[in-house]
Amino acid sequence: MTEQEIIKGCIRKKAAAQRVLFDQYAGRMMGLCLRYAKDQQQAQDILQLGFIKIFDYIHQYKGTGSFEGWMKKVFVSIATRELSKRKISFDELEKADNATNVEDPEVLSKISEDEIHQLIRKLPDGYRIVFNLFVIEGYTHEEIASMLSIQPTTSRTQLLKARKMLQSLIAKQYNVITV
Amino acid sequence: MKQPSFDDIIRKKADTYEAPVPADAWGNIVQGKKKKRRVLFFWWIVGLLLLGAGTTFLYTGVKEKTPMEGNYAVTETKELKENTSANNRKDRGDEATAIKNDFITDTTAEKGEKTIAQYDSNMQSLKDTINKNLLPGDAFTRTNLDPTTIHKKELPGKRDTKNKPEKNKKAFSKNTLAGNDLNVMITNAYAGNNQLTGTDKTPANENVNPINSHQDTDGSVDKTNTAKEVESEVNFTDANVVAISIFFPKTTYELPNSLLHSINAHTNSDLPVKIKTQHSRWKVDFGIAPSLSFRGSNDLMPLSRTILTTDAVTTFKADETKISLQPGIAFSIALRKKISKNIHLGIGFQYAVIKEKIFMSGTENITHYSIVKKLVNDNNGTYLVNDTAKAFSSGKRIINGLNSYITLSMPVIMQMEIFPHRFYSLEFAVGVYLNVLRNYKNSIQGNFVSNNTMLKETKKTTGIGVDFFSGLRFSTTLNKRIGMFAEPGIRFNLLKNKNSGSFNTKHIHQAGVGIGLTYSF
Repeated sequence: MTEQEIIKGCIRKKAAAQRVLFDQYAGRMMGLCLRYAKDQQQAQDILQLGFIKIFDYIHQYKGTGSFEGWMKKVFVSIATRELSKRKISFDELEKADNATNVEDPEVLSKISEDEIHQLIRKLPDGYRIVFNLFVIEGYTHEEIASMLSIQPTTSRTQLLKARKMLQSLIAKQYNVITV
Repeated sequence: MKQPSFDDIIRKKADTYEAPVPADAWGNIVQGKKKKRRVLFFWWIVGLLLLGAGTTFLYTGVKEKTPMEGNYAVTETKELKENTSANNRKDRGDEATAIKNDFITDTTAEKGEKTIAQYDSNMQSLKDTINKNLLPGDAFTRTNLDPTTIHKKELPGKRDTKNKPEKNKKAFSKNTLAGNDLNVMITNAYAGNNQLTGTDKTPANENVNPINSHQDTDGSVDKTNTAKEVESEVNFTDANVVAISIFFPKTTYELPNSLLHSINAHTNSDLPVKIKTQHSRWKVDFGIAPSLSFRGSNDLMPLSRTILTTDAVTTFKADETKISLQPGIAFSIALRKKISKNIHLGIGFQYAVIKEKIFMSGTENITHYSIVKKLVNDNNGTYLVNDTAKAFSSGKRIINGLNSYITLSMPVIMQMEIFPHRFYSLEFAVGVYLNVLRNYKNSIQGNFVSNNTMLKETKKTTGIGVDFFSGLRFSTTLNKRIGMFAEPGIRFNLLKNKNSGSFNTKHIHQAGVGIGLTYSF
């Protein structure tokens, strides 16, 4: 079943096509949800809500970009909306260890996807959301500011601190010493 | 450019990450969809029910409207034989001779049963007018059905432009007239100003075509079919006069309501129609009325109380007394009936509780008596006898209490409609509350005595009084039998309360809002 067939089936509300779509993308979307959510339960809620929305509005997919990209946008939108329901703290946290920088590609390449994922999830809410939106989803600071109802400068500082914190966490985990 | 490489690596690793999907996720998604559909289905059902209820409500609400004292129920009883045009002509001719041009007014119709046959001479004229102008085979398009057009066609030069309601232009929605449409058209004309208040269960011989019947040159309706005995009920209001005047202007015919009743029947049949007056319904109101109370006078007096116990006498004399009335609540039931065009009269019972806070500050003196043994040494020797020792103490006492007036009243209220509407109305209410029983419940211990003679005189536990009531009543109908109302109003206490046990005499006025339900039966 090609992607086009799946999409057409979903537009026609075919349960089989919806199930195929779910099976195909659920893992990646769950990963995305986990990156945004505070816990597993919230991630599952976002996942379910996201797929329900996808099935309801799949006819709005124009076919111009990648389907996965469109789905991600929908999920990110839902995730940020869900997270906005409770107040996200964008306070400036004290840096855990700002002396350590891990920017060596060799070190980073040794870290598995799962480990990276876990490390990102360790970031505080504000850091994590901005980091996800900017680094992984590719939104600009202006777009992030608009999505989260914050100032673009806040987004920038949150990103900076998130990046440093993540590097620090990597350094701690892999005993990287910078001289 | 190390920074981008860090981001790129992170992006690449994070983006391709696939997390394990919870096993119940798909099930929940399916359930969520089902739930959503159920919700949609539920709202569809609710919407349909509301629509149905609304339609029924409109239909029945219209039927129930009481223009004056009640609805006119037109009961048409037909004895059927073979109806021929000759018979009809004969019948009509006889009746027309009997009461030629004798128009009956509304009031006569209200008095009871009256055979509509008396109006047949008028009806004949009416029909002649129709017959002259509505010719067989006429293609009556919607524009033809515009009341003005019809009017022009029917009664050239006699149009009553003053009474032409614009809304009637929408009266008939069909594009062509057929079959019994003349009836429908007239009925719709009544309804055109949205004031049709009745239903027309068309009789069984409705297949008589009044338009085609115009082929009879003498203008009579030719009914060749054999009809069965049928009853139909039609209710109309005064509004019909306005509506029908488009077809038959007032300048030509001063049509009374009762005659209008017959139009519908007579376009179906020429047989006698009986008019009955249906009396307005009794209504019962169940209400609850929270209120704020305020006193009109403040006869505070020096109060004192004495409490006697086996070993002490406690006397309290208030130096300061403060009494403040608290919000009250009343429950009522009342029967109402429409006694004229726009006046209701009601009578009922009301049970009301009004609380009042009492604060007293004063001096309390306590005298304790105790029995002691006293040693007596006299000629009889030395021995002990009982004696009473008295100990006296004094201090300041503050008393706080929450007392209540419990009143049973009989309201006699008249309501005048000042803004009547089919679904809601605004009425001015005025009347009296006869307070047949008023008790004062004192929660403070002891009997308080005052120097107030008024209070001393009323040793009875009841206080009879009269309140004047005035208010506005907003009412609306919920369905055929049930309505609701809100009645903000003021009760002005005419006679001072002099309840025994109360701490002062005063007028207790109240301002509140009565809300409740009305049931028509």
